[in-house]
Amino acid sequence: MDTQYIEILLEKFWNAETTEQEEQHLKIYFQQPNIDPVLAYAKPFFVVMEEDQSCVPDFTESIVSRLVEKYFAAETNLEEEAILKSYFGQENVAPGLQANSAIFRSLNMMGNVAYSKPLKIQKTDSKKVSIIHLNWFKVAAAAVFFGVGGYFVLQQSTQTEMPPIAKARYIEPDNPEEALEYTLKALAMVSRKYKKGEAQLLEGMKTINNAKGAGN
Amino acid sequence: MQNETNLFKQIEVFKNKLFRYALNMLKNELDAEDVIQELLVRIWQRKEQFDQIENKEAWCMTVTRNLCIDKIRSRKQSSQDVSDYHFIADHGATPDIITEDRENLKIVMDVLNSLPENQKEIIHLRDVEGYTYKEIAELTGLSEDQVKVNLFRARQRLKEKLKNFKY
Repeated sequence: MDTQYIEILLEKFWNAETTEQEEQHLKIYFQQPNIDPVLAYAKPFFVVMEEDQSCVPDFTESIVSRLVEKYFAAETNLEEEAILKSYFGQENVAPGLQANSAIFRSLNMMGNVAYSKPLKIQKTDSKKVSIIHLNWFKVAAAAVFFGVGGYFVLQQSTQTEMPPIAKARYIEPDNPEEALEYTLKALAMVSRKYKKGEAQLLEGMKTINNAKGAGN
Repeated sequence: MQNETNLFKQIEVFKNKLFRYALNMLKNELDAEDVIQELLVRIWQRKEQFDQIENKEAWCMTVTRNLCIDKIRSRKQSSQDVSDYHFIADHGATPDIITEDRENLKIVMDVLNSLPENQKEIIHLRDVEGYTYKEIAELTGLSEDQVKVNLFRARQRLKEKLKNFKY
């Protein structure tokens, strides 16, 4: 019997799926001297079972102890881990294994946590959420409205805050002489600006013409 | 078009796994319930596509994981609290949980919570939920080898930290 076959039988045995014939094969295998070291951990179970049925706690302890070692080395498969949980989940844990009990019992308890609420969308909560979202939306909309509105108001107010000359247009002169004086001053200023602009234009034209001449 | 009850009936069989996964990541019962609610909303919003999903459990676990990560990121500070562990015992299927079990559970939970996040997540998926290495690798985005290494380290730390405790 090769190792692979025995491994398959052992897996079936841990899951209580072996037939009597297969269990007999396991017993025969473990009674012979050439046992694969990988499978040796299971030997006490089958040999003792053959010799003395009353020693069940001892070989169980041996097997579980071996499985615990494998567990901490992260070498157990899911079936072996299920055996450990099942073993430590019952009351009669061997004294030598008590130290590991807390871990596996705790893992069992963590696995018993259940979601007790009905599987449906909580209308009240979602309503609350939507109300909150709506309120935020309103606040955001109001902020944008006042922000934009405020900007235009500010713009307008800065436009009305015009420089002194523009303001002067709206000053009602007290008498016609004063009005004439204001008008003349304004025309003089416009004329000065115009002349200055004209001079600058002529200067620019001269520069362009000189440049053209030099290029030719 | 199917109704809400029929739609959510499809996750009834693994809803506890989803809740425990969220609980393990968030360490807060209300936050975990919020995540389940958010998951239900997402399923409802995508009900046509949801029907087409072959492995609904894997899809739901992935969405739950992402929602938990979002929630953790949005937290200003960790809400982890030792007292948060007590509800686990209260939710237990075994009604006559003895004091010793509760005390041991608290000790084990404290040790598990002291592990790095990825180790804590992997040990939960393997030792509480019984997922294969392949399934854990797909869910966490790690390779199977990385999953095995992290599980080994997590169990070694568990062993190391618990060997000094007297039960």
